[in-house]
Amino acid sequence: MSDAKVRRPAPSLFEVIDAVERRGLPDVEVYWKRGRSRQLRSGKEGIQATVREEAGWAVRAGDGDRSLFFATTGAPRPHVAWPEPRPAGLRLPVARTVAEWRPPSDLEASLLGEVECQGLLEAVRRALENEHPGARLLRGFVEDGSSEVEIASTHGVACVHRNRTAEIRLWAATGSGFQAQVSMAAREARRLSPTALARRLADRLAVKERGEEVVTRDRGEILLAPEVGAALLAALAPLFQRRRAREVGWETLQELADQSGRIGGRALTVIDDGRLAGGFFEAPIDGEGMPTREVVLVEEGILRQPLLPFWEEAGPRQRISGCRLRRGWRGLPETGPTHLYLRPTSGLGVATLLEEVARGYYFIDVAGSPRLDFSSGRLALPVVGFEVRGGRPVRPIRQAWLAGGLGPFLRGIQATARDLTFFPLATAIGSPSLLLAGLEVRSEP
Amino acid sequence: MPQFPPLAFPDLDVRAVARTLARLAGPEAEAVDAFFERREILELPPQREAPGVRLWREEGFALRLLEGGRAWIASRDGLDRERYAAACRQVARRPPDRETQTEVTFGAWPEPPTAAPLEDVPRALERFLRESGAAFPFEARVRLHRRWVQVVGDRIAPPAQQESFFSLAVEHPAGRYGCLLNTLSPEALVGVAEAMAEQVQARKAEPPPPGRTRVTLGAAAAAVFLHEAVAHSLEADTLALSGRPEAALGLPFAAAGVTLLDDPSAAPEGVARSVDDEGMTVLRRWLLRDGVVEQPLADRQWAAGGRLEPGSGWRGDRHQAPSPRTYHLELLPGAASRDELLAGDGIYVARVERGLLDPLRGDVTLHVPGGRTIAGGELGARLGRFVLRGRVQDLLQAVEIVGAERRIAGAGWCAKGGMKVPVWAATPALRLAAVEVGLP
Repeated sequence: MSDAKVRRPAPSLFEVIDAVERRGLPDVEVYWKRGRSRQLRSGKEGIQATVREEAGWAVRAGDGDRSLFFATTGAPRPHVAWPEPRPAGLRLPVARTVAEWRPPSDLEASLLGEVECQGLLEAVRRALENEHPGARLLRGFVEDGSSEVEIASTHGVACVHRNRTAEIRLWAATGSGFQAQVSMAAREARRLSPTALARRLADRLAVKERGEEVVTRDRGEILLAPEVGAALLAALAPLFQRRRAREVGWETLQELADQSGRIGGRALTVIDDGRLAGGFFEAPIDGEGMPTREVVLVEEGILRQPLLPFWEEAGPRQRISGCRLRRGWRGLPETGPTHLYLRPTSGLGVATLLEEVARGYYFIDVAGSPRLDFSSGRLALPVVGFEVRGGRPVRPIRQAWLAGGLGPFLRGIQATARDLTFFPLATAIGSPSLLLAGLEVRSEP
Repeated sequence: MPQFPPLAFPDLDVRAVARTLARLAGPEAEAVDAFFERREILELPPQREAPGVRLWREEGFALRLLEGGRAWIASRDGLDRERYAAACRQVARRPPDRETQTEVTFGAWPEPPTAAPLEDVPRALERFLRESGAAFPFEARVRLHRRWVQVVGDRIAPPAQQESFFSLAVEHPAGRYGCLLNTLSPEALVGVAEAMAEQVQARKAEPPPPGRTRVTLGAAAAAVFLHEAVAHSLEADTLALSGRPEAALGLPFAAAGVTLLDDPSAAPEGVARSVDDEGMTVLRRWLLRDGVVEQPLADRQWAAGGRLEPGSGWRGDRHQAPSPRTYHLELLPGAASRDELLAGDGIYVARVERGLLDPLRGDVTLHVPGGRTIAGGELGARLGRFVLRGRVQDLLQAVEIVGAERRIAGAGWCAKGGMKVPVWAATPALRLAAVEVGLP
């Protein structure tokens, strides 16, 4: 592995590998993760400050016929109560060359202290009062954490890397009782802007307080803020890998495509990138030690390739994606995106897109979970925002449903702005503001 | 029934821990406690899914200091002198002294469980399906969960607690079925097979037409309904979203005849608890007595005001702070016979797949994988997937009659605020006068 500071995994991982090999299992992988985080919660129950330190390791081992998984807390050690392997052959990936990666400098920054976390929430509270007089912060949650992962295997994998992620969640209410919530993440907590967070909350509170319900079905041009685009993309995430038994997947998109593999217009480019510079989960390797890279899933509306784990690789056009994620040391690797996003358009501002909405809507936030029925291809998402006429918001809308078909949604994306923003939604999902047609605005899903 | 070893923390010196906690607690401290935990999961995945067996064993602790409306918590994986001392320093927010440099250790793990009871489950389910005339492919994931907990306070050290139960996740042609069981007895597995068969048989059935209708909830479905509509609504932190939790005391919440308790000590064998995850003695807590709120669910922090009772503080694990949750719901039986529960016309729901409470709007949604029509007092045609919706208090006021026969049913995982805990229940069936039926 090429890195500015090459570090091999600790000898204890190889001691474990030796011990498991001596038990007759030739294919062995050891994964060790240590992490530290500081959390601050503020709400009606008071303030809760938590320092959390986690450390655990896991082994996958087997041969062509049988296998086992064992995970436990602490540091890797060879003498544990190994379970007896059971029938199911195990395949582990063979080590690959990892492209050069320099650890970002902000990995070295210290975690936010308790006082800093409180200061951040207090700054949001003050900024919110300025933005929306009478509004108050109901609850706040800040978490800032760092971790280190070491992976070693009998197939040559020997990797070490570090991560850093911070998240903030805020709940606020107006004096008249309308509530709103925002969540943001960043690699380092000091990058979170209290003013920007307060403005997001204030915008949503204002719409909820003054907004009206939608009473009729309507169509038109629809501008979606990044939050809304990201919520829709998150719901579609299962479609970007091959279908497993009884589930949806890439094949669902292929069924929507025309003969040239087109599912949308030129504005539709979907990318996953495990080593996205500045991403919350930026890393040179995935949870199996495979190299991460930018994977273009859909390019200007045309299907390119799904996320591919190592055993589904098939030639230069269907290359391994570095897409095997582990949710901590307890988790087994699962295929999925790391930083999944719609490609923005450099130089195109949101205001320019808004001006193009002669008659339509601008939705700035989601008001609940999306409903997506893959079998019928129908989707619906509760949203809040504005009715737009002549490029200007004219009426706030407290809640409406954005509804329609999956195919029309994908084909209807006409333009993306430059304001790509990522959100912590199970994984990192990003979207710029989107201008689209083809969906309906309704009062019910 | 899995047998527990005599002690899960054979070498933990509870007195030494109590002494260190006493040193941490300053004059203003309201409480200081240490939570020690060991957890073990043994899983057999579906056949041919690698790895063919999975074993998780984890241990650790959390220290907590409550003072002046604030809580300081330090949580760790593992346990040794250095970790414990560092955690003491963090919650006390001062350098360690000699007393907190104490030897603390768990001691050896018990022997790992054998996989044999889990191996039989898929074969047993196949057999029961065949005997009932159903035959379809399925894949079962079976887990044995064991957990040991010891809470120590600066003045008290309640008995160590232990839980042992099974979880089942089955994939079949109509989707998924999941449940928690305290036993893998033939009776319990017959119930699982029945639930699977109902889901598969409902797969091709038409859903009921949208509208309002009378609904009879079987015991398992009633448990999920009451969990979402009552238990979640009466958690102190949920009540606090719209005011003071104490304001709910004495509030008429459900129809007369609905008396609902939370009693962890009465939970099924293997999962009964005498203290909660804060070391507080559990209560036979009357959530609703004849439809009126008597005692919401509260932990130590929410009970500090004086009018709520602690004893419902539960943790997903040592890294999560306690919060008010239900553990074992019991609905007192009524007098209604099966014929009375099925009288007239309506819909019968045996099981609810999942439920969701919107605490701000006060709406509850129950996702039903399939049901049956009730016509003229008889169960009729199968119904496909649908949802039941309504405002919490409207639904609870719509309870017409309560069945006479109570069953252990409806156990499952409850996820709220990033914390997943097992919940148990014993309820009879219920009939509701008018419920909105819709499509998912």
